[in-house]
Amino acid sequence: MTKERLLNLSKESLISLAEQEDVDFSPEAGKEELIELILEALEEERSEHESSNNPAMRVKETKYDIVLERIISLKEDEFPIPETYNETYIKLLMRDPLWAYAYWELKDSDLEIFQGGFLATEPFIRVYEIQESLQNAPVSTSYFDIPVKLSDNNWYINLPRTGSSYYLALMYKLGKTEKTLCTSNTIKSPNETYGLLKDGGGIADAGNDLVLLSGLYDFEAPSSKNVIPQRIISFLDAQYIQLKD
Amino acid sequence: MCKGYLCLVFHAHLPFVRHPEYESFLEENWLFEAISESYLPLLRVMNKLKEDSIPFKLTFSISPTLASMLSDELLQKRYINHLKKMQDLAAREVDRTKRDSQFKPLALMYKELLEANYYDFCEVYKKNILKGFKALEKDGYLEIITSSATHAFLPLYDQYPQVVEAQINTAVISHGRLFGKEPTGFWLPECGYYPGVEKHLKANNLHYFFTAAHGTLFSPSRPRYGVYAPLCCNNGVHFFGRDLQSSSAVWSGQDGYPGDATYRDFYRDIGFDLPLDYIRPYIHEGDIRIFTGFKYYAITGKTNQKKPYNREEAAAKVREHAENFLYQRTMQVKRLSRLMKRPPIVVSPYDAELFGHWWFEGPQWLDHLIRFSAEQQEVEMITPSEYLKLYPENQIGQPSYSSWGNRGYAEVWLDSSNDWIYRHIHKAIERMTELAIRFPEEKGLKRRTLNQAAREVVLSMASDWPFIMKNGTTVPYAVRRVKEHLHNFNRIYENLCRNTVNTEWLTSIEKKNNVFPDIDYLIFSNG
Repeated sequence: MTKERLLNLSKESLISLAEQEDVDFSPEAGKEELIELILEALEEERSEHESSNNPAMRVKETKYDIVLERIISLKEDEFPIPETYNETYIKLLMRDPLWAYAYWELKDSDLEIFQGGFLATEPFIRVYEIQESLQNAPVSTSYFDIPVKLSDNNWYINLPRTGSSYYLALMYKLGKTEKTLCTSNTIKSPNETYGLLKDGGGIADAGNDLVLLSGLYDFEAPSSKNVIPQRIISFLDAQYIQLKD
Repeated sequence: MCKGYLCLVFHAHLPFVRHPEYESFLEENWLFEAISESYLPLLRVMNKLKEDSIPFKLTFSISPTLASMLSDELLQKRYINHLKKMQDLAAREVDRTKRDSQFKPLALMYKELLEANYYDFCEVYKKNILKGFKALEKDGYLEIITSSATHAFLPLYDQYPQVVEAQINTAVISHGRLFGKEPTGFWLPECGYYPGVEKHLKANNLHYFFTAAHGTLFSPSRPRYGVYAPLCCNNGVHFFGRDLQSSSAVWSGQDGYPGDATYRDFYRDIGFDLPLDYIRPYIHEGDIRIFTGFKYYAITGKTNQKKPYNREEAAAKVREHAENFLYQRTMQVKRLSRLMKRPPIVVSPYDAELFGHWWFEGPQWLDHLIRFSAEQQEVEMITPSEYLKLYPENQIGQPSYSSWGNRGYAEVWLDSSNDWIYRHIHKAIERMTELAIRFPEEKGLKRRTLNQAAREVVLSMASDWPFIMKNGTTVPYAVRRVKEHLHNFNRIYENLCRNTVNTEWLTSIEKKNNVFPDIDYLIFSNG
């Protein structure tokens, strides 16, 4: 949205825009001041996006750029969709090896557990971690709990380890008893480790060199210790490596 | 025998945007700009190479939504109107710059480009540029593959195998209808892989796909040749890893070729630079300034003080960059082939719209690259199918969950700006599955209704909408599109639960969202 466009908007529309953009402004702020604040917020947002995107994503952005500034709509919702579905469920999605996203809902009759004087605690999420052997056989299951509020319905969860499987249970306590409302699907966090060169082939010792030439400059053989192997974020984003002749 | 192979993959995709309910629609310009600036210039380059008997082999993935729009009569008609409007602007620009020795040649250049586009679109391809791609495939220059039906980022739907199957199967059927042959390979949108997706690829007779570099490198068995040879999943479907070096040379606006100061600047455009009174007929209603494609400045540097674009200087630079790219690949395959028992394959995938639209000189770079390649024997161009014919036996492996997005996973498409969509899309998938199971043998109106419901669900899944919500300028449109498809689906679902159908409304959304005429809702009971 350009200054030219903002100048054509009424003060009411500018206030509404400023609110949409989470801009702090005093009630006495005039049109000029509001416009400056909105433009500042938009610019900040733009540079934040630009710096967080890798080259492939930056180029992709230009595919959808018809205008220079972000379009902001003040229109009413044309296509309403339900906010909730009156069902009890919890779902888990993998965002990256160390973060997952959970969303959930409680149906009205389950919500009553917390509202009807049944002495139930607020709900909590139990995150189950299943560590597996190299053959994908479960070797141990552990868990940790995350308290949530009744008003919450989604959460990003930091996963303790890559390479493990995870699932969630939405629970509450009634006295000393723990009750489960629902459980989620299971996700498996990717390992971020290099496998063993199982079947030989190639030229002796070339396996590491080729992995290196494929883009991993700080290659280390996977360790039997339970360490998080080097992540490849830095060069994935830089996407440029210098090879020696 | 050559020392190594170069596999250039161009992924062409745009989301389904078609608004017959409006006279003109801002976001339809995505398609028009891509046709004018990327697809037609690329077709011209390839046809000229063919005419000059220069051999080349390229892989094009053309997404089902893009292919559908390119063959849609309404959008074809609207593209011609758009071209005419731009030709009118070109004529005015030639006149406006007639006394300006720096800008006049550029105005003339745009006028000529638009004339060439008009001629090619109307006369050569008779409004359907898919014909151009098909002819090149028939002559053996291209291998055309497909992608998921609406370019859904599949890892975020892994718990719903039926919808992954629907996305892939619908894509394959649509490809067969529009290109007259089955695709052999598959472009996973955003290189988004999750373990198990290969099952659906195999079921749809697809032989290979591509992964991000780390997707291949983190295979449980270490890839013996890194990303320089395909691996084979346990079910026989092959995968090729993306080469980072050659990719970054072209992708990166900072370190890559497209960022060179000589090249045309993407952002300086007369749509924003010229007075409103002059430019008003060519921008969006309500005086919303938009890109017109008339850009007169060179990148110059990280400053707003831009130098006028000089075609000759850019032409010399693009030649130099093509030569450099080939030299770098030659050195790369020399190094690699010393370590391998077979010629390496360097897989370089790019968004097709990068060429011409963002990197104006991109099509000329490709032209030079292919011409230089034809003069040497060390690096040979190849398609994935041809490579697999030469080397059908490959190491067994399984890619790791990955994408080519920021930091290599799903954070672009699953972020605080867009995560709200998944709760609703997942619910729609569950309800669509319920409908497919509840109504297994419907005919007539009810079948039409169910097919439209399936169409709305897959349309809501396009990866473009969460991407734009996170990064784009047209966020309200992306939000509206997800909500529109979910709203339509929910309305159908509720109607079917009451055993009613609003025929008039159904017909109107069928006409509007007319993609995938052969979609079969029963696909939701599979997977």
